[in-house]
Amino acid sequence: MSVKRRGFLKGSLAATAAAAIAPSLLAAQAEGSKPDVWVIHGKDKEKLMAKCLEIIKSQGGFGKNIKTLALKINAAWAREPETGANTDPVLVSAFLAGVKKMGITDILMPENSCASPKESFTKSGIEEAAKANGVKMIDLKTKGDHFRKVKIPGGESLKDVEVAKYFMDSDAVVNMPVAKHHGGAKLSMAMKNWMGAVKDRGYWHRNNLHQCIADFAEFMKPTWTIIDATKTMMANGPQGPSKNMKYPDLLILSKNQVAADAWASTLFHDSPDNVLYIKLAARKGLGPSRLEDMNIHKIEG
Amino acid sequence: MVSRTVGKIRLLTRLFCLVLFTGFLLAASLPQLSRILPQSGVFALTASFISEKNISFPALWLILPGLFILAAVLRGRVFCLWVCPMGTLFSAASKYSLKWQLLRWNIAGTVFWAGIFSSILSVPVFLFADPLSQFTRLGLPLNGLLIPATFIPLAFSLALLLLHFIQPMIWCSKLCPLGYLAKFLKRDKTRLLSKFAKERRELIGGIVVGIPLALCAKKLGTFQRDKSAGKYPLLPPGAVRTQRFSALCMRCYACIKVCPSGILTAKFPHNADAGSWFAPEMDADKGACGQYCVECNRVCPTGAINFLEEKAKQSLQIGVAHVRRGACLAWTDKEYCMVCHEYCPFGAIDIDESPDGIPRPVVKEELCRGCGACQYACPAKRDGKAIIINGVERQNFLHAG
Repeated sequence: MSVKRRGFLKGSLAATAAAAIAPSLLAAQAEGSKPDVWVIHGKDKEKLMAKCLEIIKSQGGFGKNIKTLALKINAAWAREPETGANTDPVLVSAFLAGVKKMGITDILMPENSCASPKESFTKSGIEEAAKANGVKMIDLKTKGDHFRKVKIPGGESLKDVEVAKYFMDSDAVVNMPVAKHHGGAKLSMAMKNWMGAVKDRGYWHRNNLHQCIADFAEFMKPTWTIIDATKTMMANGPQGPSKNMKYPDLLILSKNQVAADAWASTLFHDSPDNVLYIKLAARKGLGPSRLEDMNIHKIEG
Repeated sequence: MVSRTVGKIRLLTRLFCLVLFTGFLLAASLPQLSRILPQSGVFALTASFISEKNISFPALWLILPGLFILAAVLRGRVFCLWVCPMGTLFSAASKYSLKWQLLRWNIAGTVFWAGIFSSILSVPVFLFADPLSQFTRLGLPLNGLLIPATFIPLAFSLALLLLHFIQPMIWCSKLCPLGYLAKFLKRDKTRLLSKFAKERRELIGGIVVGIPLALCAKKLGTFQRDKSAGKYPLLPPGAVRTQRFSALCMRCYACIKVCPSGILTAKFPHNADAGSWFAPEMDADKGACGQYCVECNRVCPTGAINFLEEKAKQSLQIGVAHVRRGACLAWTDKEYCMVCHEYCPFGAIDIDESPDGIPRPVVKEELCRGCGACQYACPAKRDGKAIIINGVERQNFLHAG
């Protein structure tokens, strides 16, 4: 079944403008409408995720005949859940349980953490959440054949990159980052989260970080993006801890990661254009950076 | 002569101990076990007493050396004949020996006292010569950790082993300071006087050899220009300061073996203080000292690396980061980087924004623990790492945030 996604990626590699655009964007364009962004509010994280999965189901789920799903969480730091440095484990657990109920049993959770993998996976509570649902995390720092080199269509700073193969070989990909302050990239949300799926992040830092993030978004287009904004670290990110915490109690859901990032950025800044990689990604035509260009559905979860 | 049955039981016991202690060296899941062997001699314990004038061990760890002393007082070299794994290896080699006499005199007493006196001057010869530290040192290659600088101390033990193919039991009967101690402790009332005269000779010999030896080692620095003067090596957390650490460390490398991040290593001598040579050292190019990790503190058999609770370790400053602006991607190449800020677990990197809005790192020294997370993660390549950790003269507990 992996053929389907591989075929899609091959299309991307061909770098013809049409093929490089995610099915979601094609769909959106076909309807002549703007990408949808669901902003789900609620204090109970399990209910939030239930609502989120309900919307996903009503929008065609993860696609047809989906057997394998690769989930990119953020488990980069050896920090407790309340810090907001990693994706909330309660959300992760609820997502995994929900997806399993939908009949997708083969779920992969690869992560190339920043701090020691062992400490990051345990302190974040995400390994436990995975284990509780019978899912194994894949530590991309261990020895093994994790990565495959790919060309980036239309890459300006990032022309090729070694990506964890699991995201290319699965039928569906979901990105589930946490929204937080970031010292180097200003904010870390969806697009920035993909740095934990590649082998050599250092290259990005040496070669125009914002452009690399935008370039990679051209290549990696997840089926769904779910941004955890239940709590947001407003300073000292990405690792924290920070005394400056806010609790928006939100999940931001979209098929378009640029739109999701743009909306989430308004929790921190006046305009999405304050975050350079969002601006660059929008300029590449990967999605809207202006809220007027999206269909925003505010929902109580 | 021992009877046949006793001989057989003894052989089995020795083999059992050899296998057991080798198992401890290999036991990755319970690294603290590797501490048992060096701790069952007396030298590891006395090290802190001689150099620091205190014994900083939990009472539990006094049982093993206590047994050693008790056995020695009652029966002499019981430990050597029944337990010591190095002795077992040496005995095995001696079986196939050429039986040449390279060393005629028993100089173990002189070695012992020379070791003691040089240790008072912080040159830990007797810790290094301790057969138990020699055995524990084998833990590194047994675990596949090949660190070039540790080959030299390792070669010392291997050379000794090879020597036994030439002269049987040369170490145990002529050189071993631990064996000497065991014999020394056995009080034989009938020959007390003649023994005393011999011991006095050995003691004086030890002073004559040990003190000048230590002084020479310490003073190498005054004879040659010490390039590292004023710089301090980055030591494991709990080592406190260079002199104390090098005096207490038996170079068993249990800490290097157990370090999960790989930051702990050993380097070739890079300063003129021979007393500190081949002691473990941190290299933040190889890893970052884990914020929640106290593994090395738990395995050190001599207390050279103090025992620390996780909380205490987190507030201990072992070094200070320094930004090399000329090599820095943010300061020089105007890149959005701040990886050091990102990786710092202690919020010790401040953001200085350039006029064109590019964030640049500045170290808040009062918050920096010297863990090396920044240096390890720094992506700068052209002129090497743009942020490096310098060791401090004395490790201190920070009271700030």
